[in-house]
Amino acid sequence: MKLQTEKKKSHRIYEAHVVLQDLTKHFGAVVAVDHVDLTISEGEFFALLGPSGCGKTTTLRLIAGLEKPTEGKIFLGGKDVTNLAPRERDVAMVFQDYALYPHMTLRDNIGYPLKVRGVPRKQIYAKVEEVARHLKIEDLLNRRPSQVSGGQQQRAAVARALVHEPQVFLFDEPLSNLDAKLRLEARAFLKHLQREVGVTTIYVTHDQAEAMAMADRIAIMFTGRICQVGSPVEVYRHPLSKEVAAFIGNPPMNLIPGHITREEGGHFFIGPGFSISLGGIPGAQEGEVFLGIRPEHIRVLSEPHPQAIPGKLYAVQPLGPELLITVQVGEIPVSVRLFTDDLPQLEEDVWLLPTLERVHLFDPTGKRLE
Amino acid sequence: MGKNKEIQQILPRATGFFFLAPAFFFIGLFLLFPFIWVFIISFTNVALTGPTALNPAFVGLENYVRLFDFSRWMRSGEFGNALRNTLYFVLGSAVLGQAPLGLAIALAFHRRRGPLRELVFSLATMAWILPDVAVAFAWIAFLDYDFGTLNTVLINLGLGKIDWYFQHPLVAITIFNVWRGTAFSMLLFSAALGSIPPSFWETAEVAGASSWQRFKDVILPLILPHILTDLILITLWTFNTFTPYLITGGGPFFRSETVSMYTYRVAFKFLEFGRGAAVAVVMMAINFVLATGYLLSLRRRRAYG
Amino acid sequence: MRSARFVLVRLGFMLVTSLLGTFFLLPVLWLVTAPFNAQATLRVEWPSPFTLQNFGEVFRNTFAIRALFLNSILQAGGTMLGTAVIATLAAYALSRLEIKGRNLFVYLLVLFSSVVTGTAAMVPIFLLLYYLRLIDTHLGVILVLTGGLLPTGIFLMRDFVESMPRSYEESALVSGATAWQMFRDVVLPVLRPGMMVVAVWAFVNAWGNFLIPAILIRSPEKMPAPVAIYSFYTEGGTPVLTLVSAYSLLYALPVVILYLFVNWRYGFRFFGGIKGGGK
Ligand SMILES: Nc1ncnc2c1ncn2[C@@H]1O[C@H](COP(=O)(O)OP(=O)(O)OP(=O)(O)O)[C@@H](O)[C@H]1O
Ligand SMILES: [Mg+2]
Repeated sequence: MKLQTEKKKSHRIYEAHVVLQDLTKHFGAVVAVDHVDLTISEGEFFALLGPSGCGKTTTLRLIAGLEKPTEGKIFLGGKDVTNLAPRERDVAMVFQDYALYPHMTLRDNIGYPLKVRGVPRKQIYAKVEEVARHLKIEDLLNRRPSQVSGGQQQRAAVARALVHEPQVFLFDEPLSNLDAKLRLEARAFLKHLQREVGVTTIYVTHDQAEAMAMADRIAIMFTGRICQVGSPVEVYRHPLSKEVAAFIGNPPMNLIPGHITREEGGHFFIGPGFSISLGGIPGAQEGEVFLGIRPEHIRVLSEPHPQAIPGKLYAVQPLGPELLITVQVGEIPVSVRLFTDDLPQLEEDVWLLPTLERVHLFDPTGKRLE
Repeated sequence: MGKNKEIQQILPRATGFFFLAPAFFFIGLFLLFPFIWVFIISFTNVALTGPTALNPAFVGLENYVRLFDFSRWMRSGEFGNALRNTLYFVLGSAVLGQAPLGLAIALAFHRRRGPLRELVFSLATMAWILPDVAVAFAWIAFLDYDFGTLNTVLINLGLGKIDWYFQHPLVAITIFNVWRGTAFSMLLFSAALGSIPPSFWETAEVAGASSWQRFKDVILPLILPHILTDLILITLWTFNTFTPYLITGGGPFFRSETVSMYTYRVAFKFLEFGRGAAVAVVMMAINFVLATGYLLSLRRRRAYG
Repeated sequence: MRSARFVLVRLGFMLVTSLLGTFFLLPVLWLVTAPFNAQATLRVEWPSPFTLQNFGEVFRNTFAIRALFLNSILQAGGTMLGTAVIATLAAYALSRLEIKGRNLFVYLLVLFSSVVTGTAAMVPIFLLLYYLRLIDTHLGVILVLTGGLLPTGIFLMRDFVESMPRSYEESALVSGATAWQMFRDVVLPVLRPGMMVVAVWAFVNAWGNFLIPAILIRSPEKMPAPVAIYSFYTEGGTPVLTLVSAYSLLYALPVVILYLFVNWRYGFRFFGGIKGGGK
């Protein structure tokens, strides 16, 4: 695509492109964004992930200039834009409801950012055609938003963001209005597009799978604060807190409360009704802990094993390529994913064997123990 | 780079207040100011003709004393007479006329579409929105003793002619106002009934309730707050309407004169604004009570959820 | 047995509702027959001889024509424009300034406008206009009508503004629009149906209002149609029914047409039943 790839891809020097410094936003007594520091590189696909109400949208709106920060600064391309109006920031935003104007055709909708910049009409239409062809909506340009499907509306909204070649793309849950199948398609499409165009992208979502699938890096946000920033693999493999661990992955990480004692064989984890040796796991020290283990790092045995956790079989859900098994350990339901399509022969009593290298430990406040 | 520049909001405050200014100007000048000023006028003898036209004076409560002079209060052309006529007019046309008729039509056509419904609704709505003067003439013709359609119908039914203007002027304008205003109640109740989930009806139907039981146990409790709202609003409007004046002129001998017409006569025929203002104050007080009642009824409804 | 009863109920229903329809139809029949009758009386009868002469008579009457096609259009049109524009601006500002309690405020305003209404309100308003030297002017009538209609106009408009997502305006701003571009390209077009509804509503109310121009207008050359018709009827002995009926029909026609138009274009929406509001 000729849009801007040449220009940007050629010198893809990963320099700081969007910088948030100590960014804070209060709405009355509500602290929506709480001292956020972030540095996003040029060309990066950056996801802002967190549960509903954690302040993702507010952060995005601060970057767009739609909200005024209570404290802190925002830099775009090295320039302090904290006090600039949205139109002076050269960003583009795709809204959750797409915000396509109902009285304009898709052509006029997509061309609007160029129109307000005073680009001659002929040039606008040529550019709109080009972008639309790329997004495969060129046949729909004469229709109104109400006359096209949800997926096509989403593409039109992306086209409008693309058309004036902004420095930064801002997406606010752009896929949440699509049905499950379209959402998967759109994920691939957006990711591909972003790679191609190479524009720095900040993508807000509460869907961890979406963030993992699309982003180069993810920032995880809880109640206005950033808890962890890292690549999808990092946040998955190395969650810095119990909250992050429980938020990422589907089903999320199992967290079993217990405590660690030190005996001659090394450290032991004492859980509800069992005790297993932790061997030489780093971070193991005596005291109350949460033992975290992802569902895919557990094996299910039908007879006792010294290193296994005894439990009662609760439910087996065949999902096609994999099985999801829920086992009751004391009062705690533990999920297990087995990558098989054979239904195992299991009695009520089962034993769960965790892969020790993949076990995480968190202290009672939720902090990771290293 | 702009320093300390306000971030652009959708609507900057200054622009917003600029947008609001014309509305506030009109509301201040033609709503708030008259409301306050009318009290002041009512204590003076402002007139546009006669000896006090040039320098009006404060006359204290004189206008009110004259208004409520109970020795002549009920005489023809006096305030008491107008008040009594208004009471009959409002009770007859709004409370006993428009509301029940509107409810009946709404119920009759509830969950029944079709040309008959379209026809009745359109005709009633037409009667509601046509200009005052046009309908007034139509009604003068309709009620005429010799040629009027109403008497023609009565004769054909073997009931004989009625001299509406001379014998029953108040009844005539009451019927007129039922005709004129039923559409509002009809549309209101129709909307209210439409907002009842169909499952409510169906449950009652399955339970084997008769139509009357269904009405009494399911519909009535649900639309009761709407009935209250409707009654207060149509009372308020009927109380203030001036249109019947175009048909009877308040006559004969003030027998169909309502308070609204009385005010008009005192202020704009006699040009005695002090007295007119005193009546206006009384009217607005009554309006105020009705409006407050309306607000309270809404509050109650909200409390019900 | 059951089906016989059903047929009976059905027939009874049709009879009663037809009677109701007749009740609403009969009084206006005269308005559509008499204008075409060369010898119109107060009787409703098939026009004989049928004629359009009555309308010709209206059009030859300069006073009547001036009232209808100049004064009424000026006064109702001015009121329509004023109400639609001012109500739109106000409703938009109330919504986007995020003023707390604005719903209650608008509600109270509408209610208050039905307290200060009718002949009662005209007493102080007449004096006000008298001192402002606006008696017997088109402007005076327009101002008073607009003042009376505005609260309800804002109330009607508010629904339309509140149903416009803020993201429309925000996306325009992020797209690079100035505040004015945003307002012109996005806000106004999106609110246009609402403005149309308010405009039509204000026009119909102003067009049909008798009381306000009757009180405020003195000179025949500034009278709008309703006041002119009324003066035909009350002044100068026996009214010429042919003229009065034809004129009344011409005068009522725009309201009927607008009703049909709104019905066709937007569907007759029932805004919590606001028709009155004017004084
Ligand atoms: N304009 C506002 N006025 C007051 N409070 C607000 C405003 N906007 C957001 N908030 C509050 O700030 C917090 C963060 O809101 P925000 O919309 O940023 O959350 P979010 O992470 O985008 O959530 P979601 O996933 O539900 O969209 C919430 O508690 C919200 O109620
Ligand atoms: Mg959000």
